[in-house]
Amino acid sequence: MEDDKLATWLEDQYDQGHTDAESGLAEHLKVLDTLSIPEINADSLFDKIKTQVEVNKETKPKIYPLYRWAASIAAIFTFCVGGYFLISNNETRIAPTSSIVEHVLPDKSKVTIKGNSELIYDNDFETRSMRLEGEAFFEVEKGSSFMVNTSSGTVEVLGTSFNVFAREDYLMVACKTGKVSVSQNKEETILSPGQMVIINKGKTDTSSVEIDKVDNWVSGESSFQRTPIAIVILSLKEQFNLSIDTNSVDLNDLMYTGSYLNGDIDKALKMVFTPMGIGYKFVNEKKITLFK
Amino acid sequence: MQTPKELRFREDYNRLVQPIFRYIYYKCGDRAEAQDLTQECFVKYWEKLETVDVKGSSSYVYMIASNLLANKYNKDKIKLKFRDSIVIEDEKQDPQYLLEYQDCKEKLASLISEMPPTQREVLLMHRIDGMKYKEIAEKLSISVKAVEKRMHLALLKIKTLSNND
Repeated sequence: MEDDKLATWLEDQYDQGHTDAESGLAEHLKVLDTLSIPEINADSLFDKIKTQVEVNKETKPKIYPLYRWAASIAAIFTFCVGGYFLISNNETRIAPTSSIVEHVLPDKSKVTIKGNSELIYDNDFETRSMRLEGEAFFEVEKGSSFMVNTSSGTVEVLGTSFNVFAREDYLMVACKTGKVSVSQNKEETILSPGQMVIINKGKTDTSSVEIDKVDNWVSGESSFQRTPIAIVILSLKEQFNLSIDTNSVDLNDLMYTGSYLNGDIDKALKMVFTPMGIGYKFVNEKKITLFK
Repeated sequence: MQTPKELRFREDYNRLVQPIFRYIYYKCGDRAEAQDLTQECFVKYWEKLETVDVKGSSSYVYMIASNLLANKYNKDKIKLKFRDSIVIEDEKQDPQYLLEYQDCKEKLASLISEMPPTQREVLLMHRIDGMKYKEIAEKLSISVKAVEKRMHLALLKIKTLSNND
């Protein structure tokens, strides 16, 4: 019998009353079950927590006056540089409006963030945890648990490199090196290099991906694998600041596998729509309409 | 009038305060310490609440608790504290039985204290809190297989008590 199954089997045996076979264990489990655990008064503890939170609020400005001063200087500078980098008292928010931004996190992990994405994390970074909407490629330093929260699921690693694409109900995580854990509700998927998972409207689907393509977009080419065309269109809109009118072209269930170059709108549109048999027309410089 | 943040915090607190307290207690065996750490844990959660995905709330709070413990204690301190405070209720009155029971109790208490905290927490969360493996796996951010393995090792250790009799 498999090692791990012994635990469940033994317990079942005991719980069903088949105590002869493993009577030693059953006896001890019986004793264990009578273990008395202290309880706490939840309400009075809550009041203590409230008090502590208030105290923390008051002491913060007094303890870090220098930091606040430095932060406001940084804010002025970054507004000149393109207004995407903001440090406040508690957290850092990076939201590039266009192009790509490289950033080093407090634990020396590196993250490359795509335009029209947003990454937020706590300044003290005690738990390596952050929130992402959009796309970013992470190179994580080995250490304690590193977590990326998105609206469709949570990605967790210890030390590795991986790509996260999180927009609307769609989450795609591809592993380049190391091991990555992706959870959504009570489902967990572990990825090895060359594997990816797509969580679309709650459904999980794993497949393989070329390791070189995982962070392709960093060097200028965005790749997709069996991705709903609506998501690819969203990515085009963000990449080129385009408005795309789908004009009642039926896009449901259309999956796109391929890639487009980030630097050339015309080539990119061709690479996406031509294989799908969809035509497009420029209404003005920043808007296109689709037709079949 | 409560803000959305306050409402969410209260909800999560009500749902998690007892399990988290017990989880910390299982790890360190000291009621007062567990209470203080539970308080600290939720204060931290309040501060970072808004950056946490709703679906990941439980495992996030467990993670904070686990990190707080790791920072405060080295492994040896955890073992000793647990042994001193473990309490097992008496059941039967028969003096002969009581003697054996007492002996069994002490051995069991000792065994649980010696056990690695990772095995102990899974064992107690399952048997005392009645959590299913899937639930434990989700809260501790580990796989079900990992939970099974730890339970397996914990039960094997308990088995050794009867082998020595």
